[in-house]
Amino acid sequence: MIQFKNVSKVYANGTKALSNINLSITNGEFVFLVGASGAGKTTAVKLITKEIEPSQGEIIVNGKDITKLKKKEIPYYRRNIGVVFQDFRLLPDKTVYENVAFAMEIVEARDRDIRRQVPNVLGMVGLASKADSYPHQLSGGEQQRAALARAIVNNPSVLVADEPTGNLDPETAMDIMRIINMINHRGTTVIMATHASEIVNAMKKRVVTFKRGVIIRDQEKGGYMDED
Amino acid sequence: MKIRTFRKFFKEGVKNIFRNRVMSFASIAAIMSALFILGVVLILALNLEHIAGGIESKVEITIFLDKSLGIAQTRAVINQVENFDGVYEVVYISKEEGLAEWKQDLGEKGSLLEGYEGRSNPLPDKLILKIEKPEYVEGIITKVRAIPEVDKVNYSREVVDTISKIVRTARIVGLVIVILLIAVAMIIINNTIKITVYSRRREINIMKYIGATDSYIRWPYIIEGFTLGVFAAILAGALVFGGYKFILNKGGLLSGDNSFLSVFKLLPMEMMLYDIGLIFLLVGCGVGVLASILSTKKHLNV
Repeated sequence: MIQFKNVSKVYANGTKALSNINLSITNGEFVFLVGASGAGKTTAVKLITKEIEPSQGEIIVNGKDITKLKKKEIPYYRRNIGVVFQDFRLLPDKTVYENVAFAMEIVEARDRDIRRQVPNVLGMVGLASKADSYPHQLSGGEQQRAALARAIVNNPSVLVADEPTGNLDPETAMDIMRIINMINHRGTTVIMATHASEIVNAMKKRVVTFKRGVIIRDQEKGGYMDED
Repeated sequence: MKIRTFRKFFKEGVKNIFRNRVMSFASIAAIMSALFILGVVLILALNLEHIAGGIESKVEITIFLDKSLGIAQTRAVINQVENFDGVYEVVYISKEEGLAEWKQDLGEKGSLLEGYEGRSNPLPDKLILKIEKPEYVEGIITKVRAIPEVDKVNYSREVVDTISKIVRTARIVGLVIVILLIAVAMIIINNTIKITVYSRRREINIMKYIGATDSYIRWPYIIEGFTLGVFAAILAGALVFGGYKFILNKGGLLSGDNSFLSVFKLLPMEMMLYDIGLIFLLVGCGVGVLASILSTKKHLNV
């Protein structure tokens, strides 16, 4: 369960990114955050990953106000949240396998578990045959699959995706969406910020629309609202 | 922390050293220079203290007699000082003997003193008072100074005092230089780590997203600093002791072939090797680790 309670964010340069946001996402939900650039959706994502702090309000994740987390607790909080980005962010000098295993090494998983779990998730995202390839040898879609594998390898309860299809052609983007949907079906809450209207319209999921820092629409099985 | 994780950190840290060869070399050179100076100061101080101790243990007072004294007057002075408390032996060295001794000390250059024999001998007669314990020295000197026939009193205390003054000055000057060099080393290490952190900022960023703890991210850098310190300590040790050994081998005069110079014999290397080696390792690694901790705190923003 993720809850935004009266959350506002003003950046240091004075930009008002979010004004008094209230939003509630239940476990296992699939939510699109949509809106034009600068509408506030990326700010919302960064607040969940604790990359930034809200200027005001509370953000409750699994019963805990994460704005009150101690600095030491942040890494452990983040282990429960898988993140994927538009630019994949894979380590170029590591193979696909190593990139995914790296996420498990960081949380000091056992070797035995790493050897079992990494091929497992690579199979899930359809990259088993590319385990030994380096990121530069992969297509954009394959790189995003690797990033997804890394994001879910530690079984987080939430997957946060910030424009995960932004760099992909429509067909590849739909492949990625199928994988994200599958991850959601396994019980992981998915929060995806995007402005890809075709994807939002095709998926028929909950859509939260941001405009100039406020939520202007929150629809079950919604569609992308055109700017007008 | 698991051993496997630690091994990974160690590999990572050492890899970083080779990745930034130039900066690593500069860091090592800086720590090494600081340790080298530290070593020179320590060896110098230990040897000077040793020499001072040697002089002090030979408690002697040298009395130079007025040149105009006759034999009878000299006799009287000898009788007088022989009765002072704490004096167990009085050695009379005539000016002729003094000149001969001086000639011998000069060895081949002894011919320089030719022509000063007999009447033109510029040296005074002297008495050497051997004292039982240093505690007596003060009283004896006061009494000796009161004898009108005595021209000058020389006590090794003055030499000892001079040496301890030199030791003290050398320590302070050395310490200041060492502190400055350590500061330079810290700045260079700071820059080295800044560069590494910058070149790996993507990786560090990803690690943070995945949930790596601060210490997990910092450990490789701390190991990097530690390893730089070890390298610097080993090199500085080799340099200092190599140099010292060279001086020991070359310095025939200093090595005590001439018995009268035996107090100036340098300390054998083995006496200092372990202590100074340990100091080098502790200081080197300490500086490396401290610089890493400070600079990762600053640049990793963790």
